[in-house]
Amino acid sequence: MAPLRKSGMMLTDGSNDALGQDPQLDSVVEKLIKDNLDLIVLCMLKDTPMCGYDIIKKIFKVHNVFLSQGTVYPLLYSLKEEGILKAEHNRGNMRSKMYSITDEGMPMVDERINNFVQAGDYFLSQIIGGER
Amino acid sequence: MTKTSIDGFNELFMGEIPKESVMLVTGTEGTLKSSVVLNVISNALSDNDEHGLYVTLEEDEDSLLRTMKSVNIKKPSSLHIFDYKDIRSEWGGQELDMAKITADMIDYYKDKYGSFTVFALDSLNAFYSLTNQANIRKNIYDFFMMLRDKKLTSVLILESSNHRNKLVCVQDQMGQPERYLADSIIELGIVENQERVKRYIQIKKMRAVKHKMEKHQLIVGKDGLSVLGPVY
Repeated sequence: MAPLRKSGMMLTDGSNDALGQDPQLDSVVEKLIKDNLDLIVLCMLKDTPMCGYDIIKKIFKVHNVFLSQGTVYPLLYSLKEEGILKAEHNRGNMRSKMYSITDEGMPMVDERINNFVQAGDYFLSQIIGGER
Repeated sequence: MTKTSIDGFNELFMGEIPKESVMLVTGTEGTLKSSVVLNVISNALSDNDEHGLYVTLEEDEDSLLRTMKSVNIKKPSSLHIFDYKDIRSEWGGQELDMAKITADMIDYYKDKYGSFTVFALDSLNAFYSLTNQANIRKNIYDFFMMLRDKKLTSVLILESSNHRNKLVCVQDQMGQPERYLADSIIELGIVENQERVKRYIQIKKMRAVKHKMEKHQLIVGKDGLSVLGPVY
C-alpha cells in the first residue's frame, strides 16, 4: 500500500477548495470529523466495503485530516461488536479486512444519519437563520 | 486495584495491587504470562463497572479466549481485547508510531466507556520491535509516563529468554529501563532439578506493598491457576 504522507499540499477532491489553506477552517473540520467519526465511517461504508487503511486514506484525501490508527481501528472493532458492521477478508488480499454494514445494522445507520442531518439542519437554521 | 483470583497468590503480598501503577510480568515461553495477566485484569474488572483493555500484538483474540478457557477465567464483558494484527498487516512496511497509536486507542476507550481504568499490553518486546529504535530509552520512559498520566492500572508483559539458566532480557543492552520504571515486577519461570520441573511465580518488586520474595510454585489445576509453597 502506498504510504500516506501528511503534507502541506491540498489533497481535497475539489469539494471544498478552502480545506488545506485555512488553518482555522481545517481545525474546525478536524474537530467535526473526530466528534462524529462513527457517523462518517458508517456513511462511507454504506457505499462500499473498506478496510481501516482505506478509511484513513479517504478521510485524509477528502478532508485533509489524518486520523490515527488508534482511533479508527477500535471504532471498527466496537461497531462490529455491536453487530452494526461485519468484517470479511477480501478474496485475493488476505492482508485487508473489509468492513461493511450488516443487514440488521442498516436501518440503525440510516436512522442515525437522518437524525444527524436533521439536527445539523436545525442548528444551521438557528445560526444563520433565513440565509440558508 | 484488587486482589487476584489466583488461589494462594494473594498470600504473597499484604494489601492490594496498587491502583494506577505499572506492573511488569516477565518470563520465558510457557510460563503462563498471558494467563496470569488475564486473571489479574479479569478479576479487577469483575466486581465493579470499570472497563479494561488487553492489547495483543502477536496473538489473536480467539487464541486468547482459548487461553482464558483453559485456565478457567471468565471474561468479563467490560474487558475488551484489541488485536494489532489488522494494523500491522494493512500498514506493513510503514513506520508506525506505536506509542501514539496506543495512546489514541486508550483515549478512544476512555471516551467510549468513561470508567476505563485497566490496561494490559502483550508484549513489550513486540511493541519495541515496531517502535523507532532511535531514542528508544526515552520512548519507553514517555510510554510509562503516558500510562501513569492516564491514571491506568497497567500490566505489561515482557518476554525474557532463558539462556544458561539465567534470565536474559532482550533489552539487556540498554539497561532494561522498564525494570526501573515499573512499580511492580512479577517474574514467572521454570525451575528444573533432577527429574522435576516446576513453574514458579515470584514478586521481585512491588512498591509500597510488603511482599514475600521467594519463588512459589505455580500450577494449573481444574479450577484454574494456583500458587503453592516455595519451590526450594
